[in-house]
Parts: sequence; structure tokens; C-alpha cells
Amino acid sequence: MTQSVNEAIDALVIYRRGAPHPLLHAFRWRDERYQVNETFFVHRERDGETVYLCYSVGSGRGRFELKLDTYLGRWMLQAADVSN
Amino acid sequence: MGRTIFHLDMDAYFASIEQQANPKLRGKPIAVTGRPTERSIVVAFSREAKRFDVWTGMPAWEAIKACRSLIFVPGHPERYVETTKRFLGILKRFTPLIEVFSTDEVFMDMTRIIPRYNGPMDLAERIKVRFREELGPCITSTIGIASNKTFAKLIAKRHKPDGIGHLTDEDLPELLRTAPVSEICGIGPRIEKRLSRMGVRTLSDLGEMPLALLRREFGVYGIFLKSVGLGTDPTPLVTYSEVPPPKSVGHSRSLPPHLRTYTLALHVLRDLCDKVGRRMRKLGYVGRTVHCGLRFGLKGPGFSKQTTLDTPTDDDERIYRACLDILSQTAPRPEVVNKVSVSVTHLIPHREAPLSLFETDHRKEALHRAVDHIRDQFGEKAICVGTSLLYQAIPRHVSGFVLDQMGHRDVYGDQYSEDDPV
Repeated sequence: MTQSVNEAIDALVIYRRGAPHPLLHAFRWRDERYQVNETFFVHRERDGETVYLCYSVGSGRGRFELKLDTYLGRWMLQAADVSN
Repeated sequence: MGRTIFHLDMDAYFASIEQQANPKLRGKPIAVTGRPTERSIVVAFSREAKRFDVWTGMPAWEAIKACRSLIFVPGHPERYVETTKRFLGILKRFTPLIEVFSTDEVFMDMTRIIPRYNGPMDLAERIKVRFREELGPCITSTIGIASNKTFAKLIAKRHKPDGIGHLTDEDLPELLRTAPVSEICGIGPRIEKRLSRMGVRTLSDLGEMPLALLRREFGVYGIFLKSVGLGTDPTPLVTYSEVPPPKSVGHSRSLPPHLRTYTLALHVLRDLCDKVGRRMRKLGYVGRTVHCGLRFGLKGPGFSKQTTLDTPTDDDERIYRACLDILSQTAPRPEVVNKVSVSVTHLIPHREAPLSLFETDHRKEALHRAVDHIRDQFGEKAICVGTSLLYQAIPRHVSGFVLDQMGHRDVYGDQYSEDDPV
């Protein structure tokens, strides 16, 4: 089940030439590193001039929803589904 | 030379996007809803759920009865907008002649593009490959190919899901002979019944009817019916650069139980007027005729009236006052209000509106510019009318219409409307 988290996280991101959005490679949450195996979906949200990129990704340990504030360059983990 | 029209229809659109975003939902019967409550209705079903007796618009409680394993998923309008933008972006690489028919349906005129490929089927397959690679494996589409829009749509419907159908000139007579008239988009149950009374059941029956008779019975629409019966449909593509100007701007809301008093409904109405004014200013239009409506009780009677202002406006406060004038005609005042709606019609471009001679109007315009600027920069909720703080905000939800409203105009722009769906 997806649980709401809303915590700031560190993220390792690749900006690949020609890619429609930065590629999330891994992130650190609660002192644990999560390697991103697959990006399922990325969409944009807008609040005024601020554009957020919302990621739905999978690591070996579950599915995570993350949000990049493109104005401030901050990453938030919004929700996690670590159940089997 | 005959045209080659593609009709591309996304399969179980909202549901397949949710399945793409969450692999746990894949292969399962899911229903996209507004709010995750029993009172909400189902906006879209996954193709696994479609095997059961469920349909769009069904109340959630009824849907779960039809399919016990149904999983309800709250909708994400932003995801759908993003996907629509993305798939239109892919299609624009093939042709600029695209008509956005709805959020998940487009027509494309491929007549001049076909010679570059090994026929229409090859081109359709290439589009589907690009979709798979760029949108993901769950978001599939069906493509119907014919010499006109009506038959391209019909063929796509017959090849769902994830298929490609091509109606050739050789196949057309057989299709006309066997296809019932109800398969045509635009022939609903009522027209079907009227045609049936005239002895028309199949498309070829329709083609054999004298044009004069169809015109007498259906007016101008009879011309369309006749051409469809002959397997032709000269309707041109309306590409996104030729989209006609808006005829009205409006919003409506069904109210949750805690907002169903008359006073709270008025606060919601004030908010809707704010949204209408904001959208009109964004579009650059002003309008003179204000329509306002209320519905009493769940399936109860409604009240709807209109009033015409002396001068056109995009001022939300003026629109609201016009609504109050309209509502003052309801007697007695209703105790329970289930739904409120407001719209403005008789629109003209703002630049064509007469300039006001009054200083107060100019000040009002300056105020609107300032408010719009704040919202553009900091978001729609950064500044609002005070009354909207008097009630608990209605949760944002998705409906089948959310993107249809914006599909024609906004999906091509960088910004899209943040309005709540109607």
C-alpha cells in the first residue's frame, strides 16, 4: 500500500542530452540508498511559475513517488510503497 | 486522389496511464474515480475491468457489485494532460495535420505522408512502436484507417484494443451492407429509432434513401446521413491551428454533503465565478450573457436562467452579481443545493469591447491584472476571494470532461488550466 511520506531527500540524477527530463539514478532516504531500477512515469505539475517533475519509480525494494521542484532544485519523496 | 485519414484512439486511457505509473495495478481490474468514496462515480475502467458489466459514469458502489476485485484509483489529471501532450508531440513528428477530437482521440490526414512509407499499415505500426517506446508498454492505442473521418473512427472501434484496422475501397461495399447505422459516431439511439421507423437498419439502407426524404426528416443533418450511407464523409479535418474561438466559458460543481446548504452553495458559486472570470481573461474574451443554475436534491429539479448585461465583462464580481440577480427569482429559497453552475456566453475578444468611461472600471481592470499576475507567478491558490475561505475546499478530482475542456486549446501551449474539473 502506498504511504504518504513528504520528506526532503538527496538524489543522484543524470542530465542526459536529449532526454525529456532528468533521469533519477538513485536517492537516499532515512540513511538508506535506493537504486532506481525503472522509471515508470514522469509528469509535470505547475503551481504558478514553479514547475514540478513528478516521478514514479521502482527500486528493488518497492515503488516510490518523488517530486523535483525545478525552481529550487529540491527533491521530495512524496510516497512510498514498500509492501510486497 | 482520395484521402487517407487515421483515427487514433487511446485504449482505456486514464486507467492505462495509472497502470503505467504503478506496476502493481497492471493486469488487474481498476477503476479511476474522483474521490475514493462510495458516492463517487467511475470515470474510466481498465480493460481487465471491462470484461465485467461496468461502464463509465457508474457509481462506485454499483461497480464493486459488478466486479468484486475492482481496485479504485484516484485520478491524476496532470498525468493525463502530460500523456496527451506527449502523444501529440509524437504524432506531430509524422504530420502537422492533426485534429484533436478529444483527450484520447485524434484524426490525422496522412494522405501526403503515406508515399514515404510502405503503405498505411506500415505507418500505423511505426506510430505504435514510437508510442510503446516513449509512453510505456501499458499505454496502447488503436488506429483506424479509412478515406474519411467517420469510417476511420468506425474501423478503430472495431479493432480495439491495441489494433490497427484499414478499410480499403474493396472492403467498403461489404461494410456498408452489414454495418448497422448505430455504429456511426453521431447516430445515437434516438436517430437510430427514427431511421428504423423509416426502414433503415444498415448503412447501405441509408445510402438508398432519397436525399430529399432525409433532409425533410433530419434537416441539414440528412446530408451527412446520406453521405455516410454512401460511404463518403467530406467533413474536413479541423487542425489545432484552426480551432474556432470559444462560444462560452463556464464551470459547475456537484457539492459534497457538507456544502449542500444554500449559503455555502453561494460561496462555491462565488468561487466558480472567480474561475470563469480568470479563464475569460486568460483567453482574452469578455461576454454579455450570464447563465446560472442550481440543482436541488440528488436527482431533484433544477433551476437555470440567464441574464444579459448592458456591456460585456470578464469581471468575476459582476458575473457573480448577475448570478445573484438570477437566483433572486427562485422562490422559495431552496434548502438543499446539490449542484451549482455558471457560464458566460456571447463572447467577443476583449480588444473589441467598448472602452469604459468610468474610472472605477479601469481600477477594476488593474486589480484583475494584478491578481492574475500573482496567480501566474505563485499559483491559483496564492490569492483568492475571502468567501472561499468560509467553506472547506472541495477536493480536486478528475472527470471525463477535465481534459476535453482543455484538449483543443491548451494541450498545445506550455501552460495548462489548473481549474478544477467540471
